[in-house]
Amino acid sequence: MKKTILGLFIASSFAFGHTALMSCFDNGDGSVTCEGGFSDGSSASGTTFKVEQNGKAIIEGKFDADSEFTFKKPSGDYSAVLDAGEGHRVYVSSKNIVE
Amino acid sequence: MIKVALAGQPNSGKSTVFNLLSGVYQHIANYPGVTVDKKSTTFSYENEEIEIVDLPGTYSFSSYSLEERVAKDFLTDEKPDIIVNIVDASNIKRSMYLTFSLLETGIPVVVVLNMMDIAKDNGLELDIEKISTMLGVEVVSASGAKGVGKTDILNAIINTYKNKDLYKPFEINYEELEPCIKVVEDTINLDTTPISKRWYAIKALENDKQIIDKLVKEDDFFDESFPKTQEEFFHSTYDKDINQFLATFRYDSADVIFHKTVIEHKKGQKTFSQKLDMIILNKWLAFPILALVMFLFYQLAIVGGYKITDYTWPLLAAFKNLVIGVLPQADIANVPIISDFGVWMVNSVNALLNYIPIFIILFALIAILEDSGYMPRIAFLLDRVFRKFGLHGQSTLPLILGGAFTGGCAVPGIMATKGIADERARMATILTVPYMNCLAKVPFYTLLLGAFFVADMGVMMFLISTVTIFIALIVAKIVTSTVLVNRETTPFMMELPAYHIPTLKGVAITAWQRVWIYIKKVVTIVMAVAVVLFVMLEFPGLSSEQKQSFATSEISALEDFNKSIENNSYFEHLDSREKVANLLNFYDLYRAKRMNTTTPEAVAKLDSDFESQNKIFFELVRANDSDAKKVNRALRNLSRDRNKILREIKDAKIERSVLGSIGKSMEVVTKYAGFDWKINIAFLSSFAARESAVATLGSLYENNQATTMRAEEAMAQNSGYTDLHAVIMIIFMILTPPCIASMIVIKYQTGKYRWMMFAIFFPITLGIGICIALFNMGLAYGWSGVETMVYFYVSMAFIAIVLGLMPTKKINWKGGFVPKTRGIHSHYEKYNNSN
Repeated sequence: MKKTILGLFIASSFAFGHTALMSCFDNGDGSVTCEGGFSDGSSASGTTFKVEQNGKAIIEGKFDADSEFTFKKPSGDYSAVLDAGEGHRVYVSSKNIVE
Repeated sequence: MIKVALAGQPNSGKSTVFNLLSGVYQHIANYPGVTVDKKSTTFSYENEEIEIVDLPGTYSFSSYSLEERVAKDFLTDEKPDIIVNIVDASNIKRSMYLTFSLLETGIPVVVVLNMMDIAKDNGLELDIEKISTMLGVEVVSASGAKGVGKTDILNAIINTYKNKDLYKPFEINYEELEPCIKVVEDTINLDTTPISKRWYAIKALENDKQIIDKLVKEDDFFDESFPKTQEEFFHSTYDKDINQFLATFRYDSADVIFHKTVIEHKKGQKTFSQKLDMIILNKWLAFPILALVMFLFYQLAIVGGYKITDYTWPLLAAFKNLVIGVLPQADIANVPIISDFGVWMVNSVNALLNYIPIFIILFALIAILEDSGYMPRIAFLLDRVFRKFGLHGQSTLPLILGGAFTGGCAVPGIMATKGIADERARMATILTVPYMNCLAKVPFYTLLLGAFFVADMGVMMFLISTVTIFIALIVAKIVTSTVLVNRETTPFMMELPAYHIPTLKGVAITAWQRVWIYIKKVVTIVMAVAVVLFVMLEFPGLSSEQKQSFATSEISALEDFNKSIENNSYFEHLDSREKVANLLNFYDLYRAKRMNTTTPEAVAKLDSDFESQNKIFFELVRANDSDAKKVNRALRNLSRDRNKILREIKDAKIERSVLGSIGKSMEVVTKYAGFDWKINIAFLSSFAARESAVATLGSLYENNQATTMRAEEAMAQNSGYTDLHAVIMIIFMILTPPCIASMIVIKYQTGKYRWMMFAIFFPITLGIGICIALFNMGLAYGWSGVETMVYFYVSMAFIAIVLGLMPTKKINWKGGFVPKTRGIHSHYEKYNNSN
């Protein structure tokens, strides 16, 4: 019970009327930087960021004060996820992350 | 030019007839000084210019509802040539009541019997010729929803207009009252054409304040004691109340028309709508069905609308980037104030425009609910509960969209209050919706819960999200018994119109009109508010020492950059401050645009655009060779350093700004609730700058070494706060207004900045008051955070329940009449006597 209630509310996203955005760049040194944000200009700092492979999160953290997150590039295909809750997730596939 | 006023009772299908006559060429504005829509259309027909104005739907001309006032004002001030009265043919007896009120004005009337198809389905046979003969006016049958009757109506208008001079003013013989009417009529010296003096006299006798005021103002010799004397004389002579007396006459007249011209073939049988109501309003099924409808609404409007913003947002982003491109460029950490201001304005406008897809769906759904006839039934189901708190059955939808049972948003919630007929309840709903669970508050809660209540997170979240409904009800009760106490309430019409299938055209027109008004208005309001806030956040700006120290940090960031690229082959392109600044701006713009491109093709196009702008810079931004990679790394560091400086400048500015000073000066009071000035500023700027309070609080308590510590942990460790502090902050957040967007929509829906200010300051005052009380009790009794929350919850629930059980004053308006004569059908009656 506790879990479901929690799930319900944590799942509700925050910046509601704002659209979540994210772009990722390969830094060319084995690391990737993703920058998150919201459509009204507010920063995504503090929002959850994940790197997922085969549906599992292999890296998880929060966007820093610059609204960025830098991680070591995993081998194989992966997805970078800005997770601001249900319906407010932005996925960027590694195929679209170029140098 | 023939000026036509379109009048009719609510649910008579007036808007479908208006759409039928006007097509899509409609002009929509507000009646002066009120938030009632004024729809009009102008076209030519048979060489005549015709202007049709849609009056608000009213049951009669005898109460003081806003709609009736507006309608009366239009008739007396705008002097239309003809009134077209839309009558619900399936409910002649009730509808004709208004017809008689309109006929009495003396302006020629055309009666349109709308919804003839439904009347027929219900087994009613109407003798149109006879109605026309009895009333002495043109009568046309139509079905707006089916698109039938346009030419007939227009021909009737032209005919009536051409024969206007032959029209004799319509008079009902009021027997005992006639002498009094005569006396009052003789005291009026005003030229009242095209309205008869008699109508003015009758209204004055009815003690119609609006008309009496008008007479006093415009007629030098008229005195309000004239009708008063007659009224008292009549009352003492016949022991009858004039309003009721007149109403009985009109009602009987409507009854005469019904009995002489309508044959009921299915007398005693249930109509289709009544059969449907046996399911929809069934004791056991009504609430599950309502919950399902509300759930669908929420899913379609909020969840579905949000998905559409993914596709519409890039347009707004492009607009923003366009503006940024025009504004003067930043010079490293020196951003020209005009650019700051421009971006601020665009962000503010965009934030509201981003809601448009949601509103299109929302308004379309509301139009469907209204047109189908379900809306009055929602009100019917929930009115009993809501009434107790000064709200209205129709408050349901706004509260749900605002986030009554899951997170929502106050903006669409407030927008959805438009349909609430009762002025006081509408205002109360507008002021109550912001207390619902705003989604933007969630991360703030999770930050504090994660820092202080890890073990009890689920319970706390449940308490937080359900206490809101009790608070909302209490607030509604408070505002309706204080600031809104003199607002008009409309007696609740328990009159359930027949079900209709809404037409696509009608729904589309209504939705588009409402959205268009929103766009026009919001842009102007947002400009005004955003300017004020910008000034409050920007001035007086940095002190000279601060400027000096930021300049120093900027130089050191530039020196680092220089060091790392001095042996680089690209150095010649970056050997001056100006060149570096240009590169930095190029890089920023590229990243901003890149943020809004999702497909690989779009990225390729963006790349070629930027490459053509500046090949060298582009190489550095995309960094393919090792020298470029080095520059790129240095550039990223520089960009990060610069952003840090800009953030610090922003924080320093906020701290010194007008808003910051307010935060600091509020500490005098808020310290009793455990809030220091830093928290105050976080609250204030989270409201103003729309960046979540999380970021603000997080940055205020950032530890300066770069660690992997999460913001929650940092806060719990470094702030010196206890869980009591945290829970008080949470409670304050529950009680305070959500954001600028909703404040602007409040201004938009109430039409007054006054109410916007009230909506800002009332919750803050209430919040601080409650927080101070709880904080001190918590300190005195050594409560834990969770205990404090539970006590708060229980007391809110208790107050709400007590208020709900308190006997409410019965309706307190003046000058109505007994339900029987008003033609209100109680739900029970509706079933037990078919007309």
